[in-house]
Amino acid sequence: MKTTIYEMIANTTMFILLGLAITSVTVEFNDFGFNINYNMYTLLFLACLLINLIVSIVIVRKQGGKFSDLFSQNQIHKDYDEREIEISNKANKNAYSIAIISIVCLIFIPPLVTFLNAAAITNFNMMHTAVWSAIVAAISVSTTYSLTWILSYNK
Amino acid sequence: MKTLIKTYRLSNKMTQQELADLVGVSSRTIISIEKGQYKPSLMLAYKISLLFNTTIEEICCLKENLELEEKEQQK
Repeated sequence: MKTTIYEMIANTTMFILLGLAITSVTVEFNDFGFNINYNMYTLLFLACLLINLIVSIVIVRKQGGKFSDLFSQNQIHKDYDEREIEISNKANKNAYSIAIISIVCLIFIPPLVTFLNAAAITNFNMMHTAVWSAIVAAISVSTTYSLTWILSYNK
Repeated sequence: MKTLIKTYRLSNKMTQQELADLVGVSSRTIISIEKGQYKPSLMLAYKISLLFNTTIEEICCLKENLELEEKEQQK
């Protein structure tokens, strides 16, 4: 339960940082006599990725698993009882439905943006729109899974 | 689904966590079963009935639940 809440917050933060890292401007830094091009959000994203990996390893170790268990979905389900497996399947089903809907929406977004830009109604950057649409879709899928899990578990 | 798990558990002076540990599920699962929100699997019901030295039929009120189900289908 606590792990699911943590996963939901961590995933959402990482997806937002990934979006910012891709779409934000790179800053040039040359105070020490040499040029460094860096992006603050990329650094933050990498830091979050590292922290998330460390926390995940700690959680897996606490549950008596190994490092390789991090990448094995079946191993995570090893500790679940029958009700938790049922809840997990339900959450997966809901997340899958949201993923399909998101993919369908993502297919229609680029032509829509092109049309709106051509009609001079909006002036969206195609790359930014595509990235943020994908990020919103990923957050929706992750949040749907976690919320279904949390709400069903507390029943 | 109505069950007699709570009655048997209390008469054996057992906590939900203790029962959960003995049958190998989480305490939330026991809470859900006692509230009638989750139907236990056949194996889990069997484990609980063995623990309380009774039958699945008795602990899961199968006769009563079947009658209720039939009444609901007739409506």
